[in-house]
Amino acid sequence: MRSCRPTVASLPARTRRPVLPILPALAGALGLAALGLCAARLAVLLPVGLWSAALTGENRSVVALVFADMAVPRLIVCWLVGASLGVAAVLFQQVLRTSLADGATLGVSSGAALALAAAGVFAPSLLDHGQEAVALTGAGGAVLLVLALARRAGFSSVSLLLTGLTVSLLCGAAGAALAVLNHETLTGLFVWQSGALVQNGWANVRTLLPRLALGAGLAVLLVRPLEALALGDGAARALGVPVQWLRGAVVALAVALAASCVSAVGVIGFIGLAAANLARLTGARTLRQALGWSSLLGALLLWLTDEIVQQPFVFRGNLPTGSATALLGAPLLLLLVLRQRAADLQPGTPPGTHRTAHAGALLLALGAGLACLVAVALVWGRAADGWQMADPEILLLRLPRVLAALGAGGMLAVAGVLMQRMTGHPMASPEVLGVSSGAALGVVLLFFAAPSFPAQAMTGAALAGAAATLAVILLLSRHAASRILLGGMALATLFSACASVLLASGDPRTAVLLAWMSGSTYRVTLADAAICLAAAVLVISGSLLALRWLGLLSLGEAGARGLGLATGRARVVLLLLTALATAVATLTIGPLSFVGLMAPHLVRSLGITRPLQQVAGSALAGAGLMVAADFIGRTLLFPWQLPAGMVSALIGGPLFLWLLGRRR
Amino acid sequence: MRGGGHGLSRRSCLTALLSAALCPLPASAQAAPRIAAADWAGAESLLALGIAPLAVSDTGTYRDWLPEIPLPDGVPDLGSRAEPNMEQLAALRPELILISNWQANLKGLLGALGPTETISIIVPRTDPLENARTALTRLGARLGREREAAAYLAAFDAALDGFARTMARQAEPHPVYVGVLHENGTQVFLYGPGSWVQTVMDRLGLRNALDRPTSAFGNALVDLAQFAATPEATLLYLDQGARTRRAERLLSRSTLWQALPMVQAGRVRAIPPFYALGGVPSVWRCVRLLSDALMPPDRG
Repeated sequence: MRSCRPTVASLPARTRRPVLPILPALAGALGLAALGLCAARLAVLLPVGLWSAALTGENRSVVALVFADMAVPRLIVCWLVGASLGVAAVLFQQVLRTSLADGATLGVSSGAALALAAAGVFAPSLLDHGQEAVALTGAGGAVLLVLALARRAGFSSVSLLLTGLTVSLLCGAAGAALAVLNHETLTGLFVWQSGALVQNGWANVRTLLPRLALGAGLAVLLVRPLEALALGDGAARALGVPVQWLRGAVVALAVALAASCVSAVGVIGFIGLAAANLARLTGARTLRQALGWSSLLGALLLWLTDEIVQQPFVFRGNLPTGSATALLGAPLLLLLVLRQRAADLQPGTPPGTHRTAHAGALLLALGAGLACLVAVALVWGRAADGWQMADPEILLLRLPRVLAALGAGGMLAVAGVLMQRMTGHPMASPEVLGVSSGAALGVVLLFFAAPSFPAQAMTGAALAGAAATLAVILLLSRHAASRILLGGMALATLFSACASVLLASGDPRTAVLLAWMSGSTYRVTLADAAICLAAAVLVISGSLLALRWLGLLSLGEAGARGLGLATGRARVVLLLLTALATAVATLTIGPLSFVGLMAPHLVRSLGITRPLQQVAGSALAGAGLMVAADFIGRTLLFPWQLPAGMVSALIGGPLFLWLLGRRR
Repeated sequence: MRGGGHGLSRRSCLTALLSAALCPLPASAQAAPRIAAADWAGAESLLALGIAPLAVSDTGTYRDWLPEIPLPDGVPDLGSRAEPNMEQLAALRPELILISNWQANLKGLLGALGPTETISIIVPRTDPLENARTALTRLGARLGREREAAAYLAAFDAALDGFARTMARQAEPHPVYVGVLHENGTQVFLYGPGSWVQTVMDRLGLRNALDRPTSAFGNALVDLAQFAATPEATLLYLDQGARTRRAERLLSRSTLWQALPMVQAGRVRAIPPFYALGGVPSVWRCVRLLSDALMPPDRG
């Protein structure tokens, strides 16, 4: 299959050639498959002869109601949402000039979902009338944040996607924090983002239909100026196109479309991405064609996904459709990333190498700071009658939690350094590259594969998951170091989709699983903490022994080999160290802590760049951040407690975004 | 609309007052036992025996859900029921820590702070009301409060009989659903066999409209459309605050919900919340709430 360039719409077609037959064939196949499943399902639900009586409301039996007020509106909402997302994705991609953009990858959808969740908690009355306004505000805020941050990097694909997906993850952590702060059940933690298409009436159809019609109409009006824009800003200006205004208007339109979908059914990720790219890859040449076919493919893809989800053998029909689209979308994102030209994905140069004259003094200061933190976290704390020094008995209760945070934070930070050195990418870390997710996925799979298991099996599963993910990442990085970042993001998305799939299965043990995934140190025993510390010592001393390799590897594969390094063996050893660190740390503080990302960056921004100092400094900084997060979690809302992993994600997410914005 | 069943409320108030008046006397005579409760089933059982708990998890929600057996002011909060604050608990030096059977995974951790006792109410294939009674009796025996336990159970039985007699005077009661609206606005958790709500309904002579198997916790998740199968039924849903508001908002926009016969006939009502995993005092509250909700308004 020969395909055209996916990134930018081709010039306004000179010849109005009909689109290649492959596109109608694809649409037809998707449509037929969905139609077949749908017709079969509906016919089982209600005999065809009774359909009209049910729809006109003559028949009010249970099945007739289910048919007319649930099944049929769901079908139509499915089409409307799919089409809206397809249009929105084409608009985003056209204006941002990257085929990787859509509502989900830009953080727009999760911004809207977080705003809705926050409104539900703090100002429920807002939702009675202004639900869409709330969603729109959240989506707009998210997109402004992403664009502002990506602007520094010249709106490159990598920076857009990286900020977008980070904003998504951050919104997820904030949503989880909302749930915990309000003493709600933890179930929402991972499933809160997954949109469900279940309908119980026609309200959503009535809301979405006019919005899609209006949005599509506006999009068609914008086709000509947008095509002019594809010629380049200068040419477009010469043709009288107000370039900035046009960009703003198109982004606003796409955001509005995506936000109204979130407001109606929750986050349905990746459908727009898939639809827009399929349309372009299979022959939609002009923007007009892309808009039309993408909306059609979006509707059909979501319809087919939803039909599959509703088959009784798929988790008893309990799987939210949003989880299913993420499950299908993550590998797609991975494929698209692999197809990208390496040049599109070049990361910015690593931040300038400052003087390291004061590195020794800085390390000393970090060490002293960590010692103070640990002492404070252990001794100082809140009790029923205010802040006070702890007596020995309380100290003993705190000790395992502080030690576990210390060890986990330190080794996760070192894992971050190792990965940055190995991949040559300044933004690499176990969290961003999905290694933490891989470790967590290993545990989740173990949970559902075995009814009961010894505690050591959990470590083994986490280790296997982390190692497998790392291996995939290193394979990817052989192609182009910069791809792995996006690949890792796809893996992280895949993990949260898998987790929500498994949580939707209704297993009662999910409560334990959720408590663990939120990153709580509550259940850590002294023995667990000792293991964690031992692993940290092993990883850190191992990394210090491998310092020469780290220095050489950052010269690049060829450079390192030229200087006599057996790069293959060095990579395997470093990979094992990273996997060990990530697995043990993830078991202790959950997969969402961001410490492996934050700590190395903090240290780098202090001007520490040489391997020895970087490893030592990151370990100190990471341990300090995690101990601080655990301390805040234990004391902020005393006697209620916040999971340490979540607290550090809430500190680390914004910090990471800020660092991302500061690059260049 | 509500405010029916005044006589009965008065009687239940009296018995509650009586038991409360009887019990604190011996409690103040000796040093009060220092017993903490990681779940409300333990807390309310202690209070029923006239013992103020040393500390209780999530005291805020307890006060909302169990106003009949009020926690004395100033009982320390232990935070989340899933992760009771160990530091707070240790500082209080408990002589005994009560946990519920669903918290069994906390036994090891909390056991380091003092002896624990597990209260089992909801256990598959057993009668949960009988479990709740046994739990109260056993706790009374352990704490030397056999008399108080027996008195409380006797008062409860008398109250239950009273409610049942009044309900029986009603002609042909409608079948009833009792449950919690799911936040997704498309499903409802309904109580059935395995929960003591079912036992209470049986004793009150009510017919549970739920006719499907329930989970290990005695409830079932049911789609809205299923309610169309029993047009004559009444739905009583627990008002759990923000969560219930969210569900109501979604339902108010649902054409399917609005078209249900029981919604159109106004036979869907919010009732104050009760703790369905609780002990005898929670059962007592449930009895009163169901009776109040289903009694014709002119009676009493």
